[in-house]
Amino acid sequence: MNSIRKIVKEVLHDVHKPLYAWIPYGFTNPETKKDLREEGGDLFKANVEEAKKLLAEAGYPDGKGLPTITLLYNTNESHKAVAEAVQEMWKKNLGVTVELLNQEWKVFLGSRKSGDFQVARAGWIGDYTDPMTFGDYLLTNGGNNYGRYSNPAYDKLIATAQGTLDQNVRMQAMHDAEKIAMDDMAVAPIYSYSHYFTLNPKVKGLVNPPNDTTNFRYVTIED
Amino acid sequence: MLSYTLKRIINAAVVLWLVITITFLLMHSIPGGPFTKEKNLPAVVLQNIEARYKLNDPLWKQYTDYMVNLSKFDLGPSFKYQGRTVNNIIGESFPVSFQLGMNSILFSIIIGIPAGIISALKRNQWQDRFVTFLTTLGVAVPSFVLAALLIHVFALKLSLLPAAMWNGWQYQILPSLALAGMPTSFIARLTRSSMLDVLGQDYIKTAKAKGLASYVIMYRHALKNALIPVVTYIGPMAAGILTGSFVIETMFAVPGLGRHFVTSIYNRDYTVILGVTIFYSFLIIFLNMVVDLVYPLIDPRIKLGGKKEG
Repeated sequence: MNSIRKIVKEVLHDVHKPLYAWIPYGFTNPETKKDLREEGGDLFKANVEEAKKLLAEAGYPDGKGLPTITLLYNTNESHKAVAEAVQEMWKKNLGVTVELLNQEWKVFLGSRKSGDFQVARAGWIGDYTDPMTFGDYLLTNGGNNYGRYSNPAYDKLIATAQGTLDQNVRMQAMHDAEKIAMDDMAVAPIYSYSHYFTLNPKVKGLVNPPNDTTNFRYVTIED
Repeated sequence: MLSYTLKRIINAAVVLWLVITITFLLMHSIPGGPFTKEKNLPAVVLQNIEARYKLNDPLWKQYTDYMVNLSKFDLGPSFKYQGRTVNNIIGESFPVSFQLGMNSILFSIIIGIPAGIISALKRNQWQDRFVTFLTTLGVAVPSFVLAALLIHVFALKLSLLPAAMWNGWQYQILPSLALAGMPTSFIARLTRSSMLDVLGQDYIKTAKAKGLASYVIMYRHALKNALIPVVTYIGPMAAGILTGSFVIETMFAVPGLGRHFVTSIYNRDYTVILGVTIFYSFLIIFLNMVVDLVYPLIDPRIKLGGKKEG
């Protein structure tokens, strides 16, 4: 079992979905009516051998000589468990020593914003139900782009998507941009959030879009 | 008595001022502010918001402004809940916590004190062992475990009482009991040990030797003296319980004041942090003072004013 599946299964008890891409599940391509994620498929693979090779090329064979890396997360039991799993896997697979650091939410936000971290966890829930809510996140100098990722090719494709009303062109540009971001490993995705709730079958008309902005306006209760 | 009360009031004012000042400085020294959000705001927008709430004034000016408003009993606007003032947040949620807290305090006194007395009188007999067992459990089991247990048994299994919310008297029973568990046990234990202490005193032997009826000895000679430590405990306990419990209010979805003590800090809702802290400190100081003024009524040997006879 590869490391992401292992984290999702053993640490998160399969509550969330493993994610091998940047844009999570839940967005529908307006042309094909398919889920954008399923359409795009997995965009990277877990590959320990390749990682070890790259680490050796960088001058740290088996992690030797690499200073301790600090992994920052906001105080939360679930984030802590994931961070510990990452710590263990990096040590075991790559010989990299990771130190964990947790901070209270607003302190964490400050550290992340000012770039005062080496590796930090992050989550994002779309503001609206179009993939652009993830697309513009990784733009050069994007307001929430805390990893300060920058690739002109990516920026150009997002600009294309933003500048057209043709859904085919938009969605294709989004897919292509995402591929670039994942080839660059702009972020290291782990899982796509799932949210569970129970609903009495008498309740009709509840609107619950994938970004979980539940709307009760059209709710009726049947007798 | 009067000069003593006056002195205590002046002391209280100084303590309150210290609490306000220290809280003010501490809360401004923690990183992050009320408008630090995960989603980045453009710098100009953030600046406008901060100007609107006067957060870009120098700290000393924010402090003096706050003190001036406070002297008019105005605790300011909340930063998190737009359009609401701290006065109306406390005004809305305190009565709920007060009701819940009063139930628990009354329960803990009505059950705790007699349980302690029985325990002391029947020392080392089964009644004492039973009370000791229950109260040890009551002190050791945290309120959230008790709350979960109560919900499981009375709401889920027996369907006798609602599991949460705050819509009438039946909604008050489970949270009141969960909140009362610890103080009831503590009061019972305190009453027991202090009763045993008093019962060993010479004047109890004297009273017995005089041939007084045992209930007179118990009530007039033993209980009154034994209650002093209990009264001391009840003062600050009442302040703590009346201002609400974060845990109990969260578990039972009770719209009380308790959660604001915790959430206001997460939110960096400066005015709410200060408001609830001042309110809580005021209650503690006030109730402690009431307790001190009540002592001479229970025990005439205690004289207020601090002059001790050698």
